[in-house]
Amino acid sequence: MSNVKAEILKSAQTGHLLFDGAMGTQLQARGLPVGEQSEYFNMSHPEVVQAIHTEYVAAGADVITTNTFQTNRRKLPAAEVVPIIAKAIELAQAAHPKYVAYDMGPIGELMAPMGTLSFNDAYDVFAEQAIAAAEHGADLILIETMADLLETKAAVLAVKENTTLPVFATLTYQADGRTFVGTDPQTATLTIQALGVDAIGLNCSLGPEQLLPLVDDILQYATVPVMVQPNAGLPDIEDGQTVYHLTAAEFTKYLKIMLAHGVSIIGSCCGSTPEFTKSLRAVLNTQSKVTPQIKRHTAVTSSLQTVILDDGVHVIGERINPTGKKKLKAALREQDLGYIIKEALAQKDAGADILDVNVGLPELDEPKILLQVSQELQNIVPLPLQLDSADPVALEAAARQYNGLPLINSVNGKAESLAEILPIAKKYGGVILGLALDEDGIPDTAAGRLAIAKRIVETAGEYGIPKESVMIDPLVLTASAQQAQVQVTLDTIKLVTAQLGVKTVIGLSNVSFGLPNRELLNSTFLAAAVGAGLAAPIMNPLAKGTMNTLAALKVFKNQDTNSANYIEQAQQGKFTVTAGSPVGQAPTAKSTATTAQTAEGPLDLKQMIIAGRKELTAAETKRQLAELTPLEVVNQFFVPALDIVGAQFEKGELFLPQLMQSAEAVKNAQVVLKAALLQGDAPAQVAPEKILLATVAGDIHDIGKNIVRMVLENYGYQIVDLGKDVPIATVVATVREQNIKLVGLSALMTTTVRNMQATITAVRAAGLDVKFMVGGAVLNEEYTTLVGADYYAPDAMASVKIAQAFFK
Amino acid sequence: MDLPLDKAEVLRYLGYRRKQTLTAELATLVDEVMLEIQQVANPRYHFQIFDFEIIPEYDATTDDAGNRLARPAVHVLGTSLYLSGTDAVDHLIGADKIVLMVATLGIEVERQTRLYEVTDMTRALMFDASAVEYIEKIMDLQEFDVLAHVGPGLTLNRRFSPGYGNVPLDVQPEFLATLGINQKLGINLTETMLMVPRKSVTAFSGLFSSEPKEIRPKRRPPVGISADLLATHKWRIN
Repeated sequence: MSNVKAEILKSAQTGHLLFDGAMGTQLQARGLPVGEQSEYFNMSHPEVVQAIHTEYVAAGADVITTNTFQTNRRKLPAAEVVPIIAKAIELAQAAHPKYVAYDMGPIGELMAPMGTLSFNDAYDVFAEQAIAAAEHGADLILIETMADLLETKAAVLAVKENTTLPVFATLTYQADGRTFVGTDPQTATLTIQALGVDAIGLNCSLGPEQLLPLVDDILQYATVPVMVQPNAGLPDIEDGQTVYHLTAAEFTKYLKIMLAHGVSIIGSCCGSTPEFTKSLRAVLNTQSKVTPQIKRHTAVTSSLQTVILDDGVHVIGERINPTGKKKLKAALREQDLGYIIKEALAQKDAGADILDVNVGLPELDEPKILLQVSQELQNIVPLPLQLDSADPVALEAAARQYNGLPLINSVNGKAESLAEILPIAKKYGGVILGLALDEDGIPDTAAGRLAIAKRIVETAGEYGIPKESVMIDPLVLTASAQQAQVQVTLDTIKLVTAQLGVKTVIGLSNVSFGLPNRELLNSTFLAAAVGAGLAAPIMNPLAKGTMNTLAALKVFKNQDTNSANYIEQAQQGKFTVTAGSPVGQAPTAKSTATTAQTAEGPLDLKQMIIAGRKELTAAETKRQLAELTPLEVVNQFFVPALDIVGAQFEKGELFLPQLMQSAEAVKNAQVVLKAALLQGDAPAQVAPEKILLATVAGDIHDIGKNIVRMVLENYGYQIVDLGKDVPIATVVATVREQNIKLVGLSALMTTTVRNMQATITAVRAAGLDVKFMVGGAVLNEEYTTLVGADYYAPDAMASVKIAQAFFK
Repeated sequence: MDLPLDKAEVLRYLGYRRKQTLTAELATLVDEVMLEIQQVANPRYHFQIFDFEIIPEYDATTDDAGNRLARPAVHVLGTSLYLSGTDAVDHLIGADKIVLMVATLGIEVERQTRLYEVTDMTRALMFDASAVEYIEKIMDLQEFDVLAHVGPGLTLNRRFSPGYGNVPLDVQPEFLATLGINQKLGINLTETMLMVPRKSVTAFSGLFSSEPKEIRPKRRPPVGISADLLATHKWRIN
């Protein structure tokens, strides 16, 4: 470690560091036009920038941050980035501060999938800056004003993988206590410090008074020094302009409280002046260091919430795992992410705290799919994930881009496993799940399993992974085959909890494999395991009996305060057990299909579709399948219903939501048909006609495209849906690989219609014989010709007509 | 308290025409999503008021016949923002000042829409349509806030958004940077000039001290929105 680095870290850990204040505010006061990128001033007005730095040094700042907030190649021409960085560092050094911090702000684009910036692109943008900053003599890197947790992660990794500089990271929170992207301070602090930053904290957006509670939150979870740079209060609008009013003295008053609570690194942000720095320096001259007591937690997070596993029982939902699940296997093969997301949402609604994600199928590219599925899930489901794979490459790929702190499933006591998996957990953070087995298999004594657990915890420690970031799975064997081993699992839970001080996880339902009434066994074993100290069962949250037992256990563990949740569930009748039915068996779904009546009698499947009764069609289809083949169901009910609905829509008698209700009714029925076909004996189907759909690069509107997809699927077409913001090369490659003949492209903006044209041109240039249909709000016949497409589809029904004519 | 959203507008965004039957089920669904959008959204807005000047020849292009076509612009003084195009200039004829306004519903709406796209497409579409109506109402409310801020005697004309008429959408980066919107409201821009969260609006209006009858184009009288709502809807970020 360089001397400077050691000095900086020592100051942060055992003393204080004082950063400077606002740069933008000062530059604007000296003539920078509002809205212009201030980085250019390094080149055009170096004397102004240097003078500001010098004033802050004179006021007592230890650290000067460079004027480089958005010196990145997404904001500036690529060729200008490095020269500006070099100049900015030179200007900061010329003010002779103790240390120069390279200032790195957000890129200014939102990360995919909400936005269009990919993790790898963000990483590259930050890496370029970090490398240049290190080369040109910055002493540390400050990542600040971050709102997106994943972007912050990309930035930290870019610094740590490309330089040896200390790295501080501060996020920016709104009045609701969250960043613009929805992350709270607890989640951000746990996630970012696990990546190995040297200080963590917050800056900008609010004044010190409003930030005080958030700072206290951060202090409660931080294991590294905490940094705070508030704005000069909340601004007012005067004469139509934003004005900051807080005085340096008032500002300092709050910072003093923060120091007393344990903050180590301070400075100021928008609206502040060197006077603020001077005032803070005066405080630091008399303030002795307050070292906060560090509390350590076993915690996992998504970008939106943290689950602390220290106390109580938490459910890890097991259902996203293809083992023994035909529908999930089919969904994974067909990249039907909607199915997987619905599985996730159902588990969340049933009470899961964390979701296991396993996509291991021999024929799939597991690293790619695990990454893709975990990203999609994170975009919609707020729960933390347990990344579950036997393939270290898949675990690393998913952990690297995971938005938060994952549970990593798993490592075991084998030397090879420890060497492959622990570095991943160390580098990306998260909790590593260690299985109590090694080269010699699963020990048949609790002492034997404890010994392996101990070895895992100790080896993790050697890699720098603290004990609280390890959980142990003592392994559950089946009572039907190895009955004597059931107690060993329970004993191991006790030993690991008591002797190692480490939390445990078990795969619950293994215990009942091969025996009848499994849920009774599962729920009883759950009670025994929780009694032994279990922290988190991996289980099926949709198994009501087991979940009921869990609800009771939470009462006894004092986790369900005042039994509030239990009472609420009881009042909703959730625990009612019908006499004679086995404990916890789900009541059979009421057959609502037969209760839907018209004046003339019950609705048949065709009428249900026409009426858009999407809640009825699945059950009715199931009923029809007792008599008819899937093809007969399609021909007798789907086709005539779709014909009627389609014709009414075209005539303007129905409006879009009505068409969609019918389309969803068909879709729900198709799910049942598909399941029937998967049951095996169905005759080999004729391969359906394939259509590729995509929202073009740069466009993230996909409701329209998704409606078209649903309606085309209603008509039996197989849709290869590439999603939104689809790179041109991906369209070209998919058309080639999957031998696609008809492509539908969507674009909603005039600015993205250009990419529609570019996509079509690229596919044609690749010599592929394809027809294109296009649609989207700004499209019309004229644009269709202009972009080189073959057909214009003004609405979803039009795309059906085009497809029908094309494939005739 | 919820803002009174206009159901007829939401239905219009959904392509509804009066001769069509609106089933009770769909009508109820529209009512539901109009309430839900207000629970889910995290509305914020920001405005600033500037002096401006007209630059008669801001840039120039050449037409097919080779004639030089000068293009005027509105320069927002003290900033590097130029709103080019005759439509921008015409919009501000007779105005004393220019008001720049931005509003967003926040990322929460984005997330909820995507959820519904997976679980319930019809609801996704309706939720999206309600969001369009909601953000327009928030912009209406913002206009009342502007008027309250400037005091009596001043009037706004109708708001105008970049990307319409001949005012290019390419001005968005400057527009947002001028107000510091990325930090204030959390709006990001894609390379293709798309704002994320997508339910975000940028607009400018002229501020006039002249007789209201001379002001063109007239501000549309907002339905159901009034200055009274400002007391209970504190969404302005300064």
